[in-house]
Amino acid sequence: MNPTKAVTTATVIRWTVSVVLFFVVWEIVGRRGDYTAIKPFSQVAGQLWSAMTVDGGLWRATAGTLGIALAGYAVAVVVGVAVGYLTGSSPVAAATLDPLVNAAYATPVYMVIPVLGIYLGLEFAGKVFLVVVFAVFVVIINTSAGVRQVPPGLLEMATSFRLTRAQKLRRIILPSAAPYIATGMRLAAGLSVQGAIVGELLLRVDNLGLQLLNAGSSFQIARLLAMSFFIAMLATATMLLARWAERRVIRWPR
Amino acid sequence: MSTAGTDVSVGGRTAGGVLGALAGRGQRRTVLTTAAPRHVWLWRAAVWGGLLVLWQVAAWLSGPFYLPTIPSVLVDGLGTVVRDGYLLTFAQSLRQLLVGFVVACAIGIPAGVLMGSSKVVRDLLSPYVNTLFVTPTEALLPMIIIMFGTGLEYRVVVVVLFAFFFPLLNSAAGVAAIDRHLLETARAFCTPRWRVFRHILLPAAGPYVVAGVRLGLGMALKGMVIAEMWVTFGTGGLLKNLGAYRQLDVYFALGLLIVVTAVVVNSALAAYERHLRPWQRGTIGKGAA
Amino acid sequence: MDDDARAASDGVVAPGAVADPSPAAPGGSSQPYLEVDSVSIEFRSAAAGPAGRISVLEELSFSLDRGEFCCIVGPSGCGKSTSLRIIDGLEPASGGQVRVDSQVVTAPRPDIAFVFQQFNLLPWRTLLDNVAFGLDNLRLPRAEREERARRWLDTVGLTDFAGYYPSQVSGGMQQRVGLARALAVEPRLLLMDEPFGAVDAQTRMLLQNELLRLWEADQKTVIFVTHDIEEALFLANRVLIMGPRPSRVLREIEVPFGYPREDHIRGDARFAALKDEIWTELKAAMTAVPPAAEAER
Repeated sequence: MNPTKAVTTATVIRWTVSVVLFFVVWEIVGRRGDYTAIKPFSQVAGQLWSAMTVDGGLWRATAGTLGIALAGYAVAVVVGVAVGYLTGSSPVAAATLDPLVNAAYATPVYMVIPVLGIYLGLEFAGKVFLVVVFAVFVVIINTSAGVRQVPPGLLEMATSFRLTRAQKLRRIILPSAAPYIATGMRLAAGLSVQGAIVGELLLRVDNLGLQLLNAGSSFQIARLLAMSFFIAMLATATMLLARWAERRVIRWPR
Repeated sequence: MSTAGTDVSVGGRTAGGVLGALAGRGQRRTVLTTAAPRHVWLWRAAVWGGLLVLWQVAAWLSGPFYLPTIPSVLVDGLGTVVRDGYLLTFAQSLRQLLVGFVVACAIGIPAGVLMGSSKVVRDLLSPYVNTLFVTPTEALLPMIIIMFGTGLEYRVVVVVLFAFFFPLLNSAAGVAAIDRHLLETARAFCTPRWRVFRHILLPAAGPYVVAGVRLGLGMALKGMVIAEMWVTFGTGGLLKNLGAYRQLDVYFALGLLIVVTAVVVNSALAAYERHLRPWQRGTIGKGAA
Repeated sequence: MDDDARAASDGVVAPGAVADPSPAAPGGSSQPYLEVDSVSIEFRSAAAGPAGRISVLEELSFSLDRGEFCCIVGPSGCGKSTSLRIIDGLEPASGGQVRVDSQVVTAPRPDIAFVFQQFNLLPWRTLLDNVAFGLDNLRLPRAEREERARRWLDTVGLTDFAGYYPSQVSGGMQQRVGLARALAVEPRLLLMDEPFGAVDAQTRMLLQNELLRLWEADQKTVIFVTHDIEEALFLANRVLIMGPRPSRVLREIEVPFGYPREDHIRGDARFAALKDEIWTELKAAMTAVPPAAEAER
């Protein structure tokens, strides 16, 4: 699970075998009908296909959910990097804010859902806030770690060449912390999608949440499985995109 | 000049102002230091106190249906929590959480060790682990309910799905982190198998496993809350109803209880983790997967 | 510095002749180029007790003329690196003053450059861009900046590696980049803090030769801190011996060899004698000092 290790052919083969086996077993178990909750993969695939092409609502729903995820992600990154820089560079900020950040990271953020409607409403603002709450702490913690690990020798060297604080920030601290910040941003991307979907399920059911619940409540199991599968693939795609972006940031050999 | 450990200050010249001196800032900032500033608790009291004051003012301005005042949360809210048996509900939720968590560790840690030691196992299992890790488990809730109903099994399954990742990932990392040179040295000294396990593998992988358990517990808590909220049962259900009926003082009191529990358990585990690994500072896996 | 003439005339120069701490430069200005004047520095340290202070430098004084190559040797922890950093303006002294070119040093200056023991190269920049680092602030046109960087990279023999990254080259090469970076800003005073301490012995000798070659080209004033007595004698025309803390200059030694210097002087009898003398002095200083090195003021 290391984004920079090269992948061997043997590994790819094993992946393929494993995944193919999974679908085969799914198909067999589904056909035997032992479990009402498991429909054969072929049926599920059919539902998925029709959702993607015929019904059309799926793509609009995806856009809606991703829109919220993106808005929250942007806010989370801006706030997270700023706060992370602060706690990474200022002893006072670290002493006062770190305990709060760690406490927030350790508690279940779902707790805020019941009252979110009161303060920010159940629509866009509330959902975006939920996404921010999901994603921001990872960014803060990773940025903070990145800023802290800047080798003091580099900063002293910069002082000997008379760089100003702003120059040091731009030319030494940010490039040095970049890999950590990138990791934080990658993790936050996945969490943002997760937060958006939670918002669509629990605040005001809409977009992908609606797709999911409609299928569930009308007991269209194959469709429900199809929607769940779709969301899983969406999340995976987001993760791959984020990994690719992260690799792009770290361009120098280590 | 390294400032790790010692509070270095150059005598003779004054730092800029009282605040600067209090913050432990020297005359030059060539080092980003997070050594503690002087009067840590003074600063904390100031900042946290300030936040509490802001809360109180906002509460006064907006009224109890919007934001409860701090005393009402601490006195009335907590009082209700204790009197109306919410504490008991919380305890029951925690008990069920633990069942799920134990299962999660029982699955996750051995699986992680296997994945860490064998590339074949890792390649075979990683598509599922990775996919499940990124998929919002909440999206799977409708499916899980259809499969398992809304009772105890359902809640346990949800907790397991939330909680097994970090024990697994961290155990794998712990196994991978074992220095091959140490194993070779043990072989050179004809060390018996069990001693290698006890004195090399365990101390090396131990901290990682504990870190995985710590993070997993946090996730288990999340899983418990969401599972209960979804079916309006237990503590999660309580929170949902309290919010819906605007009993905000009780809501925040209960929330405070949950936060304190989470922080205490997390800190305890983190301390244990550091105890197992005194040769390194900090804890593992702060959000990094 | 007419060492050659001196060596030729009397055959034996009294080694270890204590030089007058503030010599008048021959035929030049009455002010020495660099003056370290009663510099003291003390640190507050928890290790020395609740109100404890460690006095590292105590009334350190010496001066240099333009174009001198001065090496400072002393035991570990005696404050040699600290004094160098004070001279560069990276750290303020608790007492006393440093004057370079008659101006008091309070902060880093463009005419003083520093070479670090840990190289301190930016890992995300190529070797060429690392050399250019000090030039970024000089407000030169882009073309000239690049040309200068390239030129100095050439002088340290790394032309072919301009596009490489620090992690891809050896320690010796990295330090050459550090040296090129310092030289590129064309300073008048060059400060080097155990620059060859982190490379292996063979590379060290090569780098010493290379450093002398570069220095002989324009004869900057150099202060070179090292714990290696042989290195100090090989490079410098003047060696300062610092004692354990609280330290000051125990002795100054004029090195009788002329420039350019060849490797064979390492085998010279006078070389060995000087080395012996310095080592004896250092050993005596290190073993004679009572354990109470922390002074309470």
